[in-house]
Amino acid sequence: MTSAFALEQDAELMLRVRDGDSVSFGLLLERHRGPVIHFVYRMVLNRAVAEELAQEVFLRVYRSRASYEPTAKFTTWLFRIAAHLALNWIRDRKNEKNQERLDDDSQQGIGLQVADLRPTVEQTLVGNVRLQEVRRAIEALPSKQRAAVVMHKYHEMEYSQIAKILQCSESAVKSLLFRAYESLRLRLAHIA
Amino acid sequence: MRCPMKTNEEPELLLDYCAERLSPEAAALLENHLESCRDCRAFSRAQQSTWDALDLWEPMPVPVDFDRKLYAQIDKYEESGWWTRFWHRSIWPTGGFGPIIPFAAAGVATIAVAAILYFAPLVPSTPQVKIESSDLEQIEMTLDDIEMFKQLAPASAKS
Repeated sequence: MTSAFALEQDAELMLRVRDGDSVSFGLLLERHRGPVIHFVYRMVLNRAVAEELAQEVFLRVYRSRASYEPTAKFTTWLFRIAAHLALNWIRDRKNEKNQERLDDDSQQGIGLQVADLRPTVEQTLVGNVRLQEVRRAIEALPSKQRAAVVMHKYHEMEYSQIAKILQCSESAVKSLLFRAYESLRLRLAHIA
Repeated sequence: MRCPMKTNEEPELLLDYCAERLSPEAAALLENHLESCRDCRAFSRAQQSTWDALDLWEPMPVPVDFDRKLYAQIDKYEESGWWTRFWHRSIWPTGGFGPIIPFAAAGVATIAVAAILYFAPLVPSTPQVKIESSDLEQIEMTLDDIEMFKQLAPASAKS
């Protein structure tokens, strides 16, 4: 995901933040804002919630700056916070009885997401349908499998890093991924 | 090369191959195997199609005022009292997953209950009333006296 140099730089920046350097916090935000938002969005499938949770991630990083120790990769620590918030949100969401359909938000997002892929109306429609299928297939995954797939596929993380973020063994991550991709293969077979 | 599907040894090799994360040597070995193994070839093809389908999902754009909103929250946090800051740091430490204070409170409560059970008797003692035979006689005598006074009272009132 990132080079060793970048990792050291992240930890070094965070240590500076610990010492009260707000410029370093800005640099960390600049570097990781996008990946965190994308990760959370793919977990919760709702733009407004994703933005809110991503802000909470960076707020927690800021709040805990005084106790920061570079014992793990900065991104592992950062994504652990993000995964924790997203998984909690999904759990709480499940418990809500009168939940609104997330499809409304997904409909809004599709136009923007496939905007570059549409030279014709027909292609746009086909693209929208395929994208909707992909979203539904990912949404149907159990939350931990979803987290593993998003980190593996879209953030190109190693099994070991995913394991640290989800706080489980590497073999458990491989098993999660295998089951998740199996479900996705079945669900997406007709569009792939 | 042993078949990763049949032997279930390193089945993630096929996932890694589709994700293009194998070393060139490992990829070449697997490709040799794929030529002769129908199951692995079918799996690999299906996984590759799924992998490509997932590429359709582009990330959401970063909200333009993300930083402004975040710094507003940080300012609000900085302006809050020491208790709020302490609470935030204690309740949701970013190093671990769980809130500390609820678990600590539960631990203290458990110790308190254990201490109470240890130091106090399990069944609360009820005061036992022992009625001696002499007490019964005394009560009977008292009741007789009351009865006698009742009988005498109307007579004394008339006189």
